[in-house]
Amino acid sequence: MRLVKQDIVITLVTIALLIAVTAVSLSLGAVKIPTDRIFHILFGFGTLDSHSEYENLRYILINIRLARIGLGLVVGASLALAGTVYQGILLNPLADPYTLGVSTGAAFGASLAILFGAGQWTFLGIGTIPIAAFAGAITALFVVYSLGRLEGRLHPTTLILAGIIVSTFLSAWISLLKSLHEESISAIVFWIMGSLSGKGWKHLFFILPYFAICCGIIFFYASELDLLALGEVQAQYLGVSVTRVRFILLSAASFITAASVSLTGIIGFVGLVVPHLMRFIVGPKHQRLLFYSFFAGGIMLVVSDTIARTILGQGQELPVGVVTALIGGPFFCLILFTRRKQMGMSS
Amino acid sequence: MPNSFYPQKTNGDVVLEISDLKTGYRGRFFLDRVNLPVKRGIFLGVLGPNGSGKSTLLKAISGTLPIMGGSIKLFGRPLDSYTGKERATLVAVLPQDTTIQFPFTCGDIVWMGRYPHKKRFSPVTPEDVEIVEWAMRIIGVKNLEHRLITDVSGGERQRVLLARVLAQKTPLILLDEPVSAMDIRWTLETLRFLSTLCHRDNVTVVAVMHDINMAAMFCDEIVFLKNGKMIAYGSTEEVVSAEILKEVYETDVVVFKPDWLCRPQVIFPPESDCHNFRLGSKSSKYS
Repeated sequence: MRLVKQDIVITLVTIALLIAVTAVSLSLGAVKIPTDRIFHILFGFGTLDSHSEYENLRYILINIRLARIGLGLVVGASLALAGTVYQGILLNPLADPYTLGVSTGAAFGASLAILFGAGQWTFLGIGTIPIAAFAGAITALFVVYSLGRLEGRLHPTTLILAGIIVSTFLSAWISLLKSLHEESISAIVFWIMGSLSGKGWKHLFFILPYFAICCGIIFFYASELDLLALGEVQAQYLGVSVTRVRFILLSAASFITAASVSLTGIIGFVGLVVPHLMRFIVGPKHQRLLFYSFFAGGIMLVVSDTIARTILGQGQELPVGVVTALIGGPFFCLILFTRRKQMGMSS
Repeated sequence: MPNSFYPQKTNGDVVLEISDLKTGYRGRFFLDRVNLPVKRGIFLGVLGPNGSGKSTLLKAISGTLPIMGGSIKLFGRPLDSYTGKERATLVAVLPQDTTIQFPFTCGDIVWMGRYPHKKRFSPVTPEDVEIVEWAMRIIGVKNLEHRLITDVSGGERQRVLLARVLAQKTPLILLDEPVSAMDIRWTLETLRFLSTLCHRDNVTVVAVMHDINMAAMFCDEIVFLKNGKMIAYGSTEEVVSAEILKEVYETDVVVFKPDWLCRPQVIFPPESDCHNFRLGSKSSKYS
């Protein structure tokens, strides 16, 4: 209600950034495409040279780059939203989408699939590895839920501990799988580091239903999230059904994380840095915080991915997880040391 | 003064009926056979030594602790027949622990008191604005509105949360040590205001307190708890007596009633022989 002017400014900046980042990301790559051609191909005006060149550029632009940017936006937004929810519910500034072991579960599922050479098979048009990873993530989540249950309630500290236990246990299994089958090591390692390479529209369509439903749920419960951020006792006093809302929100956040991770591998730092950064800029009220984290997460991942696929040149790629960590780490240190209090780290 | 906001729900004169209540944590009973009829418009003090079950009683009344025996009736209906949101429109609670981790503004915190009254996505009404403004003004936190809750002092935080409790506009208010972090000026002002709220607007206040003299000055009725049992319950003049206090706190006590105050006051002498203490404790057993 207040801060309306500030909201308009931030929203306009966000939209401008989103458009700029998309345009730059579309034009950069092994084949550089100038902006006027992008306009021509996407919107049908401007100049063009030959038909075959048009077809080539059109394929690269729409089927490769645009799909990849779309997936980057969706995955980045998912991770940032999930991170915001986890931090608000677990009341822990270090919480991120991977705190409950979803990522390690996905990595374990993917490792198994790679080990058994399931990479070639496809299911519903997308590889078996994402399916196995998704199954692994959801299984890990349910194990963590049943371990973290205390007198029928999900308790933040117990949940975090259960997440650490499950992650550690599964990491050991992944190491074991790697040592059993040395040919798979590079594939497993590359998968775990996270990458958007080779992903297209079908992957985007795989993730969209989860994304839409879970985002809907998370935004639906934005005001409850504010009260849960006060702590369990105060939330209950104000009339929130803590146990139920906590379960629904954690599950929604974990499902979009699982869907993202199973497609792209473990991309770190987006889900940790973006919520903190946005809380610092727009404050802790979740309606606003979720909205901006959503866009900021998408923008951060697309920027990182554009860097990852262009910085080496000659069509070589870095894992995007490396870039997000290299960008996110120093950035995080900066806000950590300058504005500790505003980030919710006062206690 | 917007007293009209308070819903005039009556069911006889008893707002809250606690009968044979047994409750506790993990199978251990902390409260045993507590019987307490809380009447409308009463400022009730809950007193007792540490670990006597004062906070447990408030938790049971606010529905956050399972009832293991007996019953609690709120406005004539069993407490567990209310949904969380319904209950929060009837009972507001000030927690003992007021720490908040996230940097909400104090204004945001007070606004959260309107949550139980709002349907999802329903817009803010002028009535909401009026209530929140009233709560902030009356508790004297209007000047803190744009400050961060993580930046204000403990006493200020307690007042902000008290304003949130008032913004809930409930006919029953439970306070767990409401003035524990406030200085004497705010303590007096807050208690005076709460007592006015009871007597003029017919709000019922149940407050856990440690300061017996403050309780004796402002509470209409006092219940003393010890080891999860009720030791005494009655009007302040009745129960603030030397025998009861001695039984509850196991320490020497002098009760006196200044003519100009009309309320009993209590002194806990450090030794049974006050005269000697002042002269340098010649007879002290520690010398």
